[in-house]
Amino acid sequence: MSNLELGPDESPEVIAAALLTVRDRLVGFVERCDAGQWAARPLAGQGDERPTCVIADHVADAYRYIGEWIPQIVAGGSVEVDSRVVDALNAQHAERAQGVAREEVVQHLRSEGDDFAALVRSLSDQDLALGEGRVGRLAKIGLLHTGGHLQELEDSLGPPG
Amino acid sequence: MANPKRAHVDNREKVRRFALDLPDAYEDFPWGELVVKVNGKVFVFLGGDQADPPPGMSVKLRDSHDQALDAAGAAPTGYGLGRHGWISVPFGAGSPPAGALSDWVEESYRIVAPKRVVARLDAKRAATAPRRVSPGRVERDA
Repeated sequence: MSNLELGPDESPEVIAAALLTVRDRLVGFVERCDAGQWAARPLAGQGDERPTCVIADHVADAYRYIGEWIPQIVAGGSVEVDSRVVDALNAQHAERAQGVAREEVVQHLRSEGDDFAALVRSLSDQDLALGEGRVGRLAKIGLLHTGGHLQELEDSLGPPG
Repeated sequence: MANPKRAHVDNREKVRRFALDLPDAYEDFPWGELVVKVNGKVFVFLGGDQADPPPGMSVKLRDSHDQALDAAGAAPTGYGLGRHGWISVPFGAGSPPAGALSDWVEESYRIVAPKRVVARLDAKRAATAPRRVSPGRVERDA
């Protein structure tokens, strides 16, 4: 996959559409990968022992928690997010998602991805600028995070199937 | 007989060149697809090289929205873009003429680009518009 960068002022509807485009590619990878790829630990060399199934499901989980932060910032609230918070959320998810079934991951990616895209689409250009641009950055992180993990899976495991 | 595949390629290239000739326009390849942007925003999607979906373009329209939807194979763009005025028009035999495609690209550009950049396009158009020099006769500025 090539450049996933969007312009600094890209419209919410285009960010949402891009996110769904990349989400569908990840769903395609999940649906077509073989049993070996599904059980593999593609990031073990980087100290991340999560298997493919957990990594893919984690993308859906991230849609959920990022999607909870955005409305809080739009409403004027403060959201404290740093690497410690994100690492804890991801560790909790990895425990919950051990052995998650392929069908569950696909359904999770679709439902959470659709909800996240709908949230982004509902924002205005002005909303994206709230929190000193943090809303826009979180919206784009949903896309970049998806594309980044898909790229890692493809680079480590090759094409699915 | 026209080669449908050739028509796809020709229309895509004509639209691409027209779009890139607009002020501050540049091409990019986010998520593996060709798009043309201005000021960091996409104003025309030109898709990838794959056969599915078929080659075509997606643009954001207001004034020509309904007219463009009447074109053969045209439809609101997927992934929620259609409800924001984006329309996808396939290329190939039976697609609108290149002039209409270019007009729609320019309309999308005018919607997406900042006003100061659109003003430069207006100035460019004014400088190259046919100038009426006498009744029934027009002359294009050099």
